[in-house]
Amino acid sequence: MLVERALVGLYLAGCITIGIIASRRALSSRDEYWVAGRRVGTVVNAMALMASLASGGSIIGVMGLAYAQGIPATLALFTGSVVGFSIAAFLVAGQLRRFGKYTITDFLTFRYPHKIVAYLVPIFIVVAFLIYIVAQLKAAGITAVVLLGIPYETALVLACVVFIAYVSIGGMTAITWTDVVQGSLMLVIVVGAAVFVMLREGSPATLLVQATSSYPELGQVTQHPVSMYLGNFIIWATAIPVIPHIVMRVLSAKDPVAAKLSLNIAMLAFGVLILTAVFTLVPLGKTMFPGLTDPDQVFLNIMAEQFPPVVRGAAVAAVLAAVMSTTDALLLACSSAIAHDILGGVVGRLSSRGQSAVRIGSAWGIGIVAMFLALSPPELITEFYTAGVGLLSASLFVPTVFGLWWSKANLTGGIAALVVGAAIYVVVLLGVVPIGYAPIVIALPASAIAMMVGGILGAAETEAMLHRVGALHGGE
Amino acid sequence: MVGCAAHESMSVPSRIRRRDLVALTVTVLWSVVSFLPAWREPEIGGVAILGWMMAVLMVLAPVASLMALLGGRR
Repeated sequence: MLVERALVGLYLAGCITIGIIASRRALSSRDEYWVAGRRVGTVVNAMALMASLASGGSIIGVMGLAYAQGIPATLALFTGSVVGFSIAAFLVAGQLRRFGKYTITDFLTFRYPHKIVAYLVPIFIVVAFLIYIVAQLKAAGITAVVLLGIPYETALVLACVVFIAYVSIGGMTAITWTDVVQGSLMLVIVVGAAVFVMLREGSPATLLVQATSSYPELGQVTQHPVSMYLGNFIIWATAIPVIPHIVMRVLSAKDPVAAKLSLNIAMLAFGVLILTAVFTLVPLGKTMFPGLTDPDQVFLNIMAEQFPPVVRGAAVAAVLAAVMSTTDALLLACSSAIAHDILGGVVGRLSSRGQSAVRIGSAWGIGIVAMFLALSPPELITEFYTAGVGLLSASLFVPTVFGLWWSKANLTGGIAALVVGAAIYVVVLLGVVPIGYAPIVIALPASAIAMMVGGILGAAETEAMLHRVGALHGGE
Repeated sequence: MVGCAAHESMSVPSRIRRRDLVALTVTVLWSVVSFLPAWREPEIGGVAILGWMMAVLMVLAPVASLMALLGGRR
């Protein structure tokens, strides 16, 4: 496994180098650290967006989920993300870019200026993203175990130290550069592996028919109640427009048009990645390895069985790239929730060096907590982090979209929508009230109703606020 | 919500552009139709039609969105 380890070592060293180079610029100001100076071009931002979303869940997890729960369930979840990009491009991207601050919390506290919003939103972000990061770390760990022969814990520590290091010192500039490299690597490996499999084993249609003949459950909608399919779809469709690591990418675009265009290009690249994996590699994996106890290992088994060491090394780097490109963005967003959203008032009074120390410290703090949590990893990572992301959809989607587009959205409605959406989601998710539907299917309409009731019964929004929100729509 | 009453004295919210509205409506309608009960049982090539409709949506949504954006720029 010397070749594989050498390739991975080179890749990790490259990431650290990028972080060090980027740190000269990133540590010079808040704009540089959180949003890369707001000058990221369309294509670079599109690739970085795709890489930020295409996590370990999108390489390891998408195939594990399809293997265990079938193709329809998997596509329902991942297509939700693509639809979410559309909703983001049409309803929030241009407006948030014109807003010109750093985080989704900045927008929500501007639109609904209240301490409940200022503290609850970053707390929800930290909780949801810790779950998300833990799932990503599991993907890195099991990849190293299967393809590099390294113990799970060692791989976890190594991956954590590298990505925390380059995020903490390099900020958004470092993760933009690394994400572009990581996104390209992911596309090349997954699409390349799929093409190789097609040349060797037959067309996707042949592979699909072979697999579904022997394992019909792969193509059926029988694994779970359909409410779960719909729930996963809705979670991602409503999460993308408000999920902090995607919003920060929108805010780092050079202008509103570049923000929208990069979302659309990222969507196409993400779609190619997912469809290639689901219709080529999953049917092959199901046929070759029908009895896997951990379905998330199906891609790794295909790589180990079908490809030579150099490709396996590149595959490990691709999975690490997928994990790190998302985790670095999550870590930066999580770190911003603490250093900027919660401690912003205190941090603002510190010297430039003091502010940098708080940013770096919060990134290391969150990363280390996530690393310890990942020592006892969950099963089926995609389902696990989707549950966490659902909290953000349930609480942030309605206040954000209504806050931009509904003239009656006011402070009462915004707080009600935030609290009701989150509370109902958590209550249904934990089974405190057994309802029989996916939590988001209940929580999102409840949040919308709370917004409308608050908007109608609460004090009307001031003219000044409405004009400021109107300005965010620009010429649209 | 979209395209609010013009009589209100405030300047928000703006009206969503027609192209964007059409693309968004197509995407949402396709999503709704995909989850109708009729598509859960029938299969093509061993995969339920719900799965195929989701796969088509994965391409349709970005293409519709790009067409709306680029058409608007022209």
